[in-house]
Amino acid sequence: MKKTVRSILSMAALMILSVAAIAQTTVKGVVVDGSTNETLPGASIIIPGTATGTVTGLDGTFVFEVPNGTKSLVVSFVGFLNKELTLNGTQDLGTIKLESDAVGLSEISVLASVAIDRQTPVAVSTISPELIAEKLGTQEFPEMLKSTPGVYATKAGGGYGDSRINLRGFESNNIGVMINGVPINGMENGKVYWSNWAGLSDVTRSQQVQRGLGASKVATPAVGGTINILTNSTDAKKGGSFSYGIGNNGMEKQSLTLSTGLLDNGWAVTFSGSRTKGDGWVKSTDYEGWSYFLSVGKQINDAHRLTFTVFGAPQWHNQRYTRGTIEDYKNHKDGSRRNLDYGFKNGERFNTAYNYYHKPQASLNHYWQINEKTTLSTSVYASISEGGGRSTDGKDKYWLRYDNNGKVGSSTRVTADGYLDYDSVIADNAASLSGSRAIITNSVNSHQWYGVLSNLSTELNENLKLSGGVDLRYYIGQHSTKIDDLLGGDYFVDVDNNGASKNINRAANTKLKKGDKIYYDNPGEIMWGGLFSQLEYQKDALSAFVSASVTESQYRRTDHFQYLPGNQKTAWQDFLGYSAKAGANYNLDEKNNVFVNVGYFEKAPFFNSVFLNYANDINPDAENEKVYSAEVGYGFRSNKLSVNINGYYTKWMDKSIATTTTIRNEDWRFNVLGLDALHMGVEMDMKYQITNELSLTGMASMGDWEWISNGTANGVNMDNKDDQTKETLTIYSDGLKVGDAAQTTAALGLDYQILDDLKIGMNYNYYANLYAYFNVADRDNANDLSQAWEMPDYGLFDLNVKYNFMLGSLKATVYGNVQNVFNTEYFSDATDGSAHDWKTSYGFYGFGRTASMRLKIKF
Amino acid sequence: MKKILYIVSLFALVFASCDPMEDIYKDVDALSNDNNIHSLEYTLTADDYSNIGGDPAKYESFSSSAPATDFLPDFLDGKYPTLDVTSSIKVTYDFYRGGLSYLYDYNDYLEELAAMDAYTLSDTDYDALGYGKYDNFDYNVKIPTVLADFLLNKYPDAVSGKELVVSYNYYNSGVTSVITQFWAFDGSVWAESDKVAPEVPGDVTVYELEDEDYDLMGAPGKYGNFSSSDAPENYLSTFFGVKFPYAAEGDKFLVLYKYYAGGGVTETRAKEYTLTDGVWGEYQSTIAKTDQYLKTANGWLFDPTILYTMVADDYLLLVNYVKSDIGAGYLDSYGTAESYYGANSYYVEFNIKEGNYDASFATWQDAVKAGVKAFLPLKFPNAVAQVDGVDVNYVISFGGYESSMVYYTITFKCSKSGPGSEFEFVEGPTVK
Repeated sequence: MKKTVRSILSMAALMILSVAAIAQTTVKGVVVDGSTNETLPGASIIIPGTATGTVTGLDGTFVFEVPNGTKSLVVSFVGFLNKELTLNGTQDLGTIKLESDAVGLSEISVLASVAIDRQTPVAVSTISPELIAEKLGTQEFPEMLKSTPGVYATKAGGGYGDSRINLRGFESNNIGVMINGVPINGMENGKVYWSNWAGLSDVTRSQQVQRGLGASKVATPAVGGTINILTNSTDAKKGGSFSYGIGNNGMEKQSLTLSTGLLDNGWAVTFSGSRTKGDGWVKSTDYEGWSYFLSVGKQINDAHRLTFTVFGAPQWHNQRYTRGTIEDYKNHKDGSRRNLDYGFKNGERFNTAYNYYHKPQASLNHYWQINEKTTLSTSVYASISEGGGRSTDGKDKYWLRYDNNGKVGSSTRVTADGYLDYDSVIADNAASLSGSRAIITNSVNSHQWYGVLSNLSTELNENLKLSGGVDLRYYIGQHSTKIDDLLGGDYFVDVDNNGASKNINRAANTKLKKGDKIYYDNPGEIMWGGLFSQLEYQKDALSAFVSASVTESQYRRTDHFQYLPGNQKTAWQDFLGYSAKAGANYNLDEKNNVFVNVGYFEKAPFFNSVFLNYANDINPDAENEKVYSAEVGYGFRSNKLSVNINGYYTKWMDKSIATTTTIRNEDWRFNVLGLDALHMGVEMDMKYQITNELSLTGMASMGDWEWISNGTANGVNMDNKDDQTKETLTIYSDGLKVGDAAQTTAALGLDYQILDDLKIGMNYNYYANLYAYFNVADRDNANDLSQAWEMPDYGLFDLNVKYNFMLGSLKATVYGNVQNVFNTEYFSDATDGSAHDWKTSYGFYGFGRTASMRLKIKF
Repeated sequence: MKKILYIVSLFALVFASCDPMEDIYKDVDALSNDNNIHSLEYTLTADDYSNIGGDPAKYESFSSSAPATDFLPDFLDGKYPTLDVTSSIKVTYDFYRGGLSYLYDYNDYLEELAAMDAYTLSDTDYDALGYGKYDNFDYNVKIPTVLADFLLNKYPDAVSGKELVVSYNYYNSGVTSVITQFWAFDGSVWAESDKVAPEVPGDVTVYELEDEDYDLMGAPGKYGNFSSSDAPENYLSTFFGVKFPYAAEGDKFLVLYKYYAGGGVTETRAKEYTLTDGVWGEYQSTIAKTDQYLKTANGWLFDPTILYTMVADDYLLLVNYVKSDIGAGYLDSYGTAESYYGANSYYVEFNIKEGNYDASFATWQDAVKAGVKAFLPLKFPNAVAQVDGVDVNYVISFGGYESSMVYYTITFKCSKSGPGSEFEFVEGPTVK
């Protein structure tokens, strides 16, 4: 390889020499994004009709020696329309603005508060669509961010779409996730279920992570950060692409994109679709997912533009839910791919953990250039989802469940081979005189969500811009459990341990069949009204902002099972939250910039913390969570090197946590108050363009995330509503390290353009200081102040290759990826055990080596 | 070019240390392989007895004269030579405990009865004796004299030692019943003999099957008896279940039944049945026993450890002990809990939350330790300190409630055999 490198280098040198032999003219300039003025590193500048050219450095600048008499140059960059410039001898072309190749993207960027380099004072990393295409491979969507600071992303149980991401040690319900500016965090618990968005990577235009409070004007639960995803919109150019990929464990994927381009009458239509299926690396985690995306744009006139986008990704996938101990995995024939949650029912493989979901999201965006200084962007959106997951119920549901540490429980029924023994359950259900004793259910979690997001921006003068808007939402979530399979019985009786009907509006001895609702049926409704405003100042090297938002959320719970008709709805419960942020960026010179931001916000407790014990009882102690955060950063940009360094301090007060504890064989629900956590750390990322062909990326992130107070928990007896006893627990959390995410991460990447058409890349990611997950509310033993189990550090190595070629007259690209090249065995997710060591902790192994290959043809 | 080399070597350096699970796997292996420690269960086979030799080989069982502890250590050593110290095996073997002597006596007695002649006074006999009006005797009749004379006439050729079962009708207060007596001839005079049925242990109830009982059982009802084709063991267990549905665990019956022995002879026989685990079973002279053996540095040793889980009554025992010996003031108003050790018989636990045991104990562990130490002599007054030279440990399980119920074990050792047993703390409490 060294030889090849050398010969290529010398060839390049020869070419430059030969060019030098001819009389030359020097041309220079800086290439920027036309809508944001952000510099574009890596844009190419070519003399039309030749292979002669150069690329912009990391600060967007270029200097190019062209032969005398060169008439023009073409500037191009992925995601932008080509721009041809006429040359007139030696000259400084100054700022060259490229326009996006997607219609309506820049307007969305504003609505989504996409951060701009050297201007927006936040810590930010942006993943380009090119990088996604090259590096994604078999990875889940959130894993694309793993080489950026502060991120810990894993595949969790390993099922399709079951991945998770933590940012600066915070879970997904404290990370704001927005698609095209529309928040998608679950309205009731703030969580993000990536399986709802399984086809998202196919249509992602860019993915930006803003760490800390971020630049978002609307209120988001962003304690850890904001993940800002922009999808494709309508393409400005006509064409399309088809791709076909295969991978390990029977993975197969087809996708297709078609675009009309911007037509003369102002319309543009883009459609994408894909289908993915596979068996899954973990045993019995097969899946099938489809995705569709349609975007219709209409340029009404210069002042009005409309874009309608709808996308969705219906899927089903078998899951792995039960976590096991290391010893059990190691001694099991399936090793780290072991999955306890399946067996054979009537000879066919069947999982007790299974998920199906379809959440189409449609939005109509209107962009109105009212006058030269004022614009109004509005997004009206709706999302109607349907789906759920499998569970087990019945008096003897533990026949089909394990102890929570993955051990076979005293009631668990497994065959000699270690599979769930459905046949014996079916026999016992059939013989039972009181209906099925253990059944398969579906926990249905469907919802409807309608919203309007509108932002008015006006330039008060040359330097001041004022924006403000509204964020209105209505949400209703349906929660119920339905019988899916009676497992050999003729019917099911839905009663508690005392024989009382769980639905008080139904006779206890009602014989229930497949599809009937059991256990619970309680829709939750949320009305949300937010107002936000922001004042931006920009003059020369200084840019600054102040912003504020107020949010009124109202919750209402309806319970069809535990209450009589007429008494099933609660009153609306009001909560007021607000936020205030300010920040400034100062560009010291063309290379160096510094920024600072501070913010404070209070957000309403989640729905489940307000209705404490799964009933219409209002929690009198429901408190707003309070977050204070401050951050400073420094950036360096030169032609060859770009570096970002920043430090953060985030204090989180009155974290809303609830837990269930068994006391004397009855379930008590505890609401914990007074829990504070402090997350601080230093983050660095850099890119070094060693030569035009070779670049190095690096990242290091050191966190110090700790609980800094003890909490108090008040409990209510859920199994006996008449019990007026007060139970109070002390939560001994002060000094405990935050678990479930690596506090130290680092990454190194090397990309090498071997030939014009061939590029290879390798990436190494390292994780350390990783403590097992624990529910802090469970730390109620004064004698046990030990840290959670510290999981072994691990490092993983990925390889990717990209090859461009012509297939007849069509442009084609082959992508190849290998993740975890050395097949390293490592524990990625763990729950802390009673002795806080590897023997008692239980969790999941990360994937071993996986590989995929994809052919993409453009037309 | 140099830069590339540096970068590549930097990568190589980082990847060199890439087996994160290595240390843990070493520990996992140490747990399961390096130390060959196992907890096994084993049931002796016929071949095993013949390999052991001696009486066990002859009878395919152990007994009190050939105890298992004499043979099993050597046997286990040969069978599991590679198991390491602290391995344990639960061995199930056959134990000959012998027959029931009272049952032998009773069956002998029944045989004697069967061998005896029987005579039932007929109407003609009453007529001849002058009681023909009612064909019975009553309280006016001097039965010993009357019968003695009657038998002398009836059996003029009787030899000394002749025994006879005599039945006659007896009238008393409006009821006529049949009286059966044993009579013996001493060569000159007939007299009622002192023969009685052998004594039956106090906890055994004698029950003689009646005709309706045989009817209930089906086939035996045809002739009112059992036989080789309708063997009693095929019926009796079920019969007892039906006949005595409310019998308590451990109840014993001596059942007397008729058995057709062939050749026109029907005998009366006896068996003992006991209700064990809800099933009526015949007394077996050979039973299965399970003992645990421990591998120690000195080879396999019988493990006499007692595993015991405290139940509500046990906590109450301690509550009452506190009441009488420490101070009634420590009891709650229901008398089911005390706040000295923290025992609570209502919730079946030690309440180990501070304030629920006496402040003189530094920790709840001290309180529970003292509580269990007080409890053991009350519960096991006749405990023994050693079995076959091995100390007897008592591993006591209890519930400890602080904010949730956690189950612990605490280990004591019997330091002095009872009566008046004493116990010494060994270790614990540890979470179960």
